[in-house]
This record gives sequence, C-alpha cells and structure tokens, in this order.
Amino acid sequence: MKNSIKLLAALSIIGFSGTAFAQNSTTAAATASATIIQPISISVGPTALEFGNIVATANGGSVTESANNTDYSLDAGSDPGAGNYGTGGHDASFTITGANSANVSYSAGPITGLPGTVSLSIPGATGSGNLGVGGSLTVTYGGTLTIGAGVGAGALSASWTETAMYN
Amino acid sequence: MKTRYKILVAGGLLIACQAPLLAQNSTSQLATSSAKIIAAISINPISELDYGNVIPPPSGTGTVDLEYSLISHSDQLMYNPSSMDPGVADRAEPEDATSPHTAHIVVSGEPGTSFTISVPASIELNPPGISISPYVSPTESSNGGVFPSGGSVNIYVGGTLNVAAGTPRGEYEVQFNVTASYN
Repeated sequence: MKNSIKLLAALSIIGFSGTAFAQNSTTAAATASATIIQPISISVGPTALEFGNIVATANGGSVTESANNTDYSLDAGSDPGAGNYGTGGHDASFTITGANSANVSYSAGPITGLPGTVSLSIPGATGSGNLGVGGSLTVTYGGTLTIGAGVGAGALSASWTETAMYN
Repeated sequence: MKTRYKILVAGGLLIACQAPLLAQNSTSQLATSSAKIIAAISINPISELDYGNVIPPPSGTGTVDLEYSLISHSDQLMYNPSSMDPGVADRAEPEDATSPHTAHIVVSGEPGTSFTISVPASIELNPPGISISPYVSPTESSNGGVFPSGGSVNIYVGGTLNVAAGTPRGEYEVQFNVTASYN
C-alpha cells in the first residue's frame, strides 16, 4: 500500500509539474470582403472640337470656341471681318462611365499635329467630377486656337489622348 | 479453483520470502506538487478584412496585397497591375465610408506565454470568383509571439486577393477561422 501511495505521489508530481491549460486554443470567425466595381472607361465624342473656317491675319491671332457653342470669338489680331469665321465651329465632349457615384478625374495629354506657329489650349478637358447614380459623366469643353503670324491657308488638325481615372 | 488459489498464494508468499531482509525496508521523501492556473486564450474580433473597391485587371489575373505596417501603423495596399486601383477617394465604400483595412483582432492570454496564430492558406469568397490567401501582418512569419505583461496582443490579418479579368461586379464575402493557440 505504501508503494502504491508513493507511485501515486510520483504521478501527481509529473501531472502538476507542467502548466495547466484550461483552454489552450481558441478559434474565432473573421469576415473577408471585397467589392468588384466596373472598370472606368471613356468615350470621346460624338463631336470633336471644331473651329470652322478661320481667316488668318498677317499678325496672327486666336479663336476661342466656348463649351456651350454659344460663344465664338476672335481677338482683334485675327478678325477676318464679319461672316468669315465660325462656320461649322462647335464644342467637343467625352463621356466617362464607371462605378456609380464614383469620383473621377480626367486630363488631356500632350497635343500633337499642329505646326509650331499654331497652338491649342483646352483647359476644359482636364478636371474632375462625379459619375452620379447612373455611373456616367459627360464633359463638354471648348478651346482656344492661337494662330501665329504667317500661317498659310490649309487644314489644321490636332490630337491628344483623353484619360480618366477613379480618384 | 481452490488449487488455483493455492498456487497464487504460494507464489505470492514465495515472492515475499525471496525479498532480502533489509534494515530499512521503506523510505520517504517530501514531494511537492504545484499548479499554475493561467488565463484561457481568447480572441476578440475588432474589424473585418475588407479590400474595399477593386477593379478587375484588363487581362489575366491581378492581385491586391493588403497588410498592416508596424512602421507606419496603417494598412498598406498594393495593386498589381496598378489599373486595379480604384483611386484614393473611391477606395471608400459608399455604404460605410471606410477604407480598405486588415482584420484587427485582439488575442488575450497568459503574460509571458508563447502563442501561435493560424489562418487558412486560401479562402474562396462568395459568390465564387475571388480568392484570398490570408496571412498575419506584417509578414507571414510573424504569426505568433509571447503575451506581454498586459496579456493582450493586437493581431492584424491581411492577405493577397486574387481577381481575374472579367470578374462580375458585386459584393464578395466569406467567413474564415482565425485560431490562437498556446505553444
């Protein structure tokens, strides 16, 4: 009997010599989520920025097409006289589509295609806005074409890349 | 039956008699036993793992890595390709206006005791189409440690989100287990 007690005591020492873990592991549920949204896209048009016919003067000048087609003006240096400018001129637009109510920004890249004596400014093609509940934003803009002195008759065309991105 | 008892008794006596005569046939020594009751390990979820808005890549499969930086004490996002990035402002979801964030949990246990955190190697979100390889931030190897004197440790679970081109728009979600264990 004594031997049995000693054995139990020894076992007890072994049993309690370690740390007692009432609960040595636990698990909790975590949630992972993501929202896939529509890629942003941009569609140029339906109309391009058009300045129509311009009669250049010897001193050069500039032509401005407003964003609402209601204002078409030339400065004094390029005034060819009444009735000779503005023929067929109109503003331009592009439409951005994407996620509903998303904030976006858009910008015009470098303008190419014009001779060195002619430049085009299109500040309205760069900016920011919100796509609204329909996920769409149409931007209408005009521009100013500046014609240097001595530019001969002929067609002028320019191009640039319009870029839109989520903010 | 009686014969068997006799044999057993004789055998027992024989064994007893064969034992040497000892001057001291028993001994004793003070033994001690001790126990230390420690705190049960527990997990308290604080926030979910949320990637916010993601744009599928134009082709192939893209990834979004989301992890917590112990240097800046903020969540870090990396989109590959970068076109998957919906933009800084649009990362906030309209319904709750929160930015993408790692899952934040508080693990509590006995101070000075080491522990390990484990998460699944990969989880598939619902509806199917997106998977996440979760890991404990800031690196995959720091998935445990030793409970400090306060007994609680902040754990951040991030992961790599895998999205294929053409993944339909929508909300994707799933629950997964985070396990904390004493080592």
